[in-house]
Amino acid sequence: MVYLDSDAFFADLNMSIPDLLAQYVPLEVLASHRTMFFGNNAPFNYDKVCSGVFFIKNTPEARALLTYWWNKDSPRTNMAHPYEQEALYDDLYNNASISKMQDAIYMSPVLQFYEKRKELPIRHVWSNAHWVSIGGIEERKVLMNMGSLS
Amino acid sequence: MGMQPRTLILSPSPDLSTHRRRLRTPQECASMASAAWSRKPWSAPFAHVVLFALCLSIVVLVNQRMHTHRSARLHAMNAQRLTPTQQRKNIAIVMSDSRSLAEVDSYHHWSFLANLRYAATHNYELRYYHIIDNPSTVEDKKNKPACHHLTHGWRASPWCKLVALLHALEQGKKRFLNAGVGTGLWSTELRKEAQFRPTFVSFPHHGQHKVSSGWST
Repeated sequence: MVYLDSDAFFADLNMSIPDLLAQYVPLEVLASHRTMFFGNNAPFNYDKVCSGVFFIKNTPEARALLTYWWNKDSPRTNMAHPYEQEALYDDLYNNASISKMQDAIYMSPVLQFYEKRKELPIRHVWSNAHWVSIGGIEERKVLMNMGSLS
Repeated sequence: MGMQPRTLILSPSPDLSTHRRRLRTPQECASMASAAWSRKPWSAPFAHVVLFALCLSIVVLVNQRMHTHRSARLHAMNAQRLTPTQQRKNIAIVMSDSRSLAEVDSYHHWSFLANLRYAATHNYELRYYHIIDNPSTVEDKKNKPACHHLTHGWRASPWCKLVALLHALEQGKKRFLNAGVGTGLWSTELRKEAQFRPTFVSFPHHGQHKVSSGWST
């Protein structure tokens, strides 16, 4: 299963999800016990995950991991940016030694969503404000072409 | 003088020059076999052929049994393996946002349409969870409380993606893996804790969309 924030979309119509995973995640990792697969948070953090788009296996371990994430206490970001991503960072990076999620997560160093590179299979749009910028207009064209159902 | 009853065995004569058959007694046969054994028949070229044929048949037999066993294992594995159609059905794309899809000409609307087209191309299911903010606790226009955690309190809608995704996974598990098995207590507890009312729109349905109300507590 794939989760996408509402500002993310598949830009490569022909690349299936198994193909996408096979391209960005080593096969031995896909077949391992790891249950969640992330891209990096480019252009902000190239070494940290982006929680806006991720792939998850439908296993009891994965669902338990999501529950654990939901139950993480993150009072500063309950109602403020970066919301649930901060809770994830807190577990993965601030408390790495006792992290319960680190062993179950894989972050691809080459899978990015946020940059304006057209070859990326999944792309993030920034916001409505971003759309009026040069990059936003480009992405809007892509979206309008792809979103057209006619 | 009467005839003595004798046990006779018909065997080919070793004397090939006569080309005649004669009757031999068991004792004669035994002594001939003993003599033949003492001549080490396995050292003869014919015995090599026999031994080779014997070994070959054993190898073939063992191989056949192994092949049968391997086929059974492969059959069992194939029974568990999903067909491409099942794999496609097993993949779902989940989106969530506090904005309704009725808000056209916004980036989340276009993203949804792009993902809808992608999902339809690959025959994946696409779900858009519309997270409904809690109007009674609205304090901030930008960060409206949407999901309530029993311990940690109200959270903004981006947090709700976790609960929406759990809901989708739980439904997927019921649908695709084993209906009625492992409907874990944790998810029930989570739903109680979540206290939000998402509605989801599920695709594809061949051009028609199905709107379902989610759970509410």
